Amino acid sequence: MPFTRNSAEFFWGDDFNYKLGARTTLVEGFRMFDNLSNTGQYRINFDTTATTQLTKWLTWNVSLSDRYLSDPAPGRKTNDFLYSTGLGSPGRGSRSRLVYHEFLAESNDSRGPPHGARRHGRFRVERARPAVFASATRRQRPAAPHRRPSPSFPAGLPRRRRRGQRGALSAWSTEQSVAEMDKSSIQTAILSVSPPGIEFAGPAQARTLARIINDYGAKMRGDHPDRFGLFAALPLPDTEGSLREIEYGLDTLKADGIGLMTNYGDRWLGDASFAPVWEELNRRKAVVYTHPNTPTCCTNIKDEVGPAPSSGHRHHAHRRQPAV
Amino acid sequence: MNGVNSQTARAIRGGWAYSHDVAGKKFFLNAFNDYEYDKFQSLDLRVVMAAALAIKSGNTGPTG
Repeated sequence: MPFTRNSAEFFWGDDFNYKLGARTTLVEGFRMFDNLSNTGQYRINFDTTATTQLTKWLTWNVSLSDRYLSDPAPGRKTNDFLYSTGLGSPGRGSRSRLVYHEFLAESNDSRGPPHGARRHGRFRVERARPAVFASATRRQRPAAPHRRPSPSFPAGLPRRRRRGQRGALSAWSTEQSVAEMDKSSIQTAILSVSPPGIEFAGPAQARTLARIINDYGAKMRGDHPDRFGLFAALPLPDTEGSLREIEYGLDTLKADGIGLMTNYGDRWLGDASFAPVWEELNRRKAVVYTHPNTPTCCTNIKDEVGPAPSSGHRHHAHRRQPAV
Repeated sequence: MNGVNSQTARAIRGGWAYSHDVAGKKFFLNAFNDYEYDKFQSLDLRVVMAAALAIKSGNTGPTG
């Protein structure tokens, strides 16, 4: 004889996602529903599923589930344990990749080879999609001041523009970045500065610019705490200013690490003058991310090839390692 | 089968869920609607309509 129950319930539980390997994800969900209409009665749903990506459109799923009812239908048991397996299709909803995110657009770099995944502390950092994520360091164009909430530039700072950047930068906003991340299933991006870095500002203004950039990045992270992390910029080759910025970035702003260029002018990171900076970073056991940069020696070699990154970046990134 | 009473599991579950970030994205509102049929529970249909306030407790790394 069919019968109907209507109940109000209070529920609590958790969802937990964990990446077991390169292709396998574990998803766990637990819910306990406490009956408010018939107090003392409750039911529990527990599901855990391992999903392994076989191809782009095919997954293999293995699930363990438990259903418990304290007051089952007459003649039925309180507990059911279920095991199931089968094939499925991956959804597009999961935000999966943690990527680094750059302040400066790199429209040219998008054609180059990927930097590859690197592991920095608790973050697995992958290269961002070749979409343009743009600038916190550029002055807003008056025509579109509302679209790019950039910090102010110090007065008299040299304006440096590369071909292909301006259009991309002018279209940037934090909201657009978040929208791009959503579209690409990116949960968290780490903010850092890309070439030309801040060295071009000169020794005095580089300190100011580093502070502006780091404060701006910290604000972005504060506004979107689960979407952005921060690798603080340093005004290298100014070692004294860099030591101050390390303290400010890591202690005050609680940055996730430090973002450096592979070289500053023709000085690579192993240059003896940078030793105090490395000693301080080592003492703090800081996470350091490095971005390829074009050294002075190799800029404007050919007229038709601009100073923007090309295949040389990978070479300079490799050169960084023996230098350090 | 062969004179012994047996049953084959037969269950169908479905529904939708929606989550919306609030309060600096540390919290989110969640609503879902579930439908369940489970022969083992003699359940013809269970309809659940739910709403919740939830907190993101941590980031364990990349998934998916």
